[in-house]
Amino acid sequence: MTVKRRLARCNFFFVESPALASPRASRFRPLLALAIFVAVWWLVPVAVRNFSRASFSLFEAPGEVAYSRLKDIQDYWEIRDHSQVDLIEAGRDAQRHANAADLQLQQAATLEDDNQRLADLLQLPAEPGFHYEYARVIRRDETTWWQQLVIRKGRLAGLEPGQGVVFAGGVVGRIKEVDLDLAVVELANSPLFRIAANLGDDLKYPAIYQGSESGPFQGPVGEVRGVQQDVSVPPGTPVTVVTSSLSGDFPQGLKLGTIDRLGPGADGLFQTGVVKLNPELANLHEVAVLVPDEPSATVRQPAPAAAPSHPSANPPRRPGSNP
Amino acid sequence: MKINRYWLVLAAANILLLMLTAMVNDGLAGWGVSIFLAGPCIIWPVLRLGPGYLLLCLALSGLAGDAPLPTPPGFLMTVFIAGACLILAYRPEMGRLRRSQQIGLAWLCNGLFFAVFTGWAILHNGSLSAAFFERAAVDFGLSQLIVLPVSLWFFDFQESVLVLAGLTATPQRTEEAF
Repeated sequence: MTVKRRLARCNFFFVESPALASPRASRFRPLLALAIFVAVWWLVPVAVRNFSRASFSLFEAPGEVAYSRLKDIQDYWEIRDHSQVDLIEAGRDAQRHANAADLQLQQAATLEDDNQRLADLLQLPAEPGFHYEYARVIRRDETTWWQQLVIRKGRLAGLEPGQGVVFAGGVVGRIKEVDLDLAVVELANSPLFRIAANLGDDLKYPAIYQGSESGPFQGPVGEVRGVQQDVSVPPGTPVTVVTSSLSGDFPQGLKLGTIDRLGPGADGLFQTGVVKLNPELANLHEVAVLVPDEPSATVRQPAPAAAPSHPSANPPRRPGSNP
Repeated sequence: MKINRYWLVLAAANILLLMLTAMVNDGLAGWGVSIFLAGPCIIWPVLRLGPGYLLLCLALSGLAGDAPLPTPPGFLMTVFIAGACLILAYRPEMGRLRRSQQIGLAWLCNGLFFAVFTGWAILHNGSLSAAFFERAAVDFGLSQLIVLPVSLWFFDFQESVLVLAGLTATPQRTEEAF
């Protein structure tokens, strides 16, 4: 007996002749099959379902990476087509930016030294340190239903779910899933992205930031909640919303966006406002992942001269730092 | 043993369509709109495959399309299979459909799938803001507009690929597709 006949007997791989079944029964048969399939699929252990997804992700990953590299090559040839005058001007601009960055680095180093000295004097606990892991964006996936990026680095580069992702304009989002050499980033305008934040550069006013949906043909937006009633935004002077060290995944002071005005919240106790995020969030080509340093690398050694006179002395805490 | 290539070719074409849609959405990200083109994926498999190979074809293409999505594992596959079962339940005698009817069916399925994904997003994200519904309406309209020419191209593409693979692409009864 051939394989085909055997399969025909089990009547699964082949359509049954309409003559053998009544029209009414044949109408309900597909729906019954659907119900059985859904029941079987959702009864399959979660581990098996996740394994199937991970398998397909791994299978598709080389294609994604190849596509991303092809885009890089396309960009390269596009740049090569530029005239020499354009390249000279771009090089001059890049040099100016590099000079400005050098100056800022020197200022940052001075401030860092001051900060370190003061922290040692006060015996403050060490804040978590980060180093940057740069990654190219493979695909931006901003639909009605979700807002995410796929980047070209993964577990092999030390990336883990929950790590913060930034770019030159501020916060991009947080890593949601990690494969071997790919990672998915939940964008800051996703309603599932929520962190502790501060209003203004002086970090006095805590708030909660959460992404929110934006309308069509509009830039990405978010929302701040839990702003105290005494905070006000003067007309025409937008206030910057920055990250708080309470969020854990981001260092303090990274820009999230700006708010133009605050309004009363639903509970009447606090204020809320719409945060305009950087429009470049939807056009990113490269991002940096904040990978936490090893704990041993960030432990501050107290300066001998700053040791408290009494062992039980309770040192003041920096706002937002964990004891 | 002769391996049936019919369902594999249709599944590969489906995966290609889903990948192309993802690439287009990558380009549209800066504009604040996106498109969704999953409806055409189930039409030819439903018309030309028996239940077993139909299940295999839609499971493969559904799971492949599902992998990069934040939906629960198997969500797109389940949506595909549900759509196929609904078509089979209400039109069991659809051996031969004209191209315009196939496109109309793809249009309906695409709208249905869009509604299912929107329902999932509302349940999962708690999205009920006006901006969400504005965006959903625009994306829905754009997707339903684009799915018409895309379906026309996609069905011709499937036909060409089947011919290139040495398989007959003329409409036939599902039993003969094996």
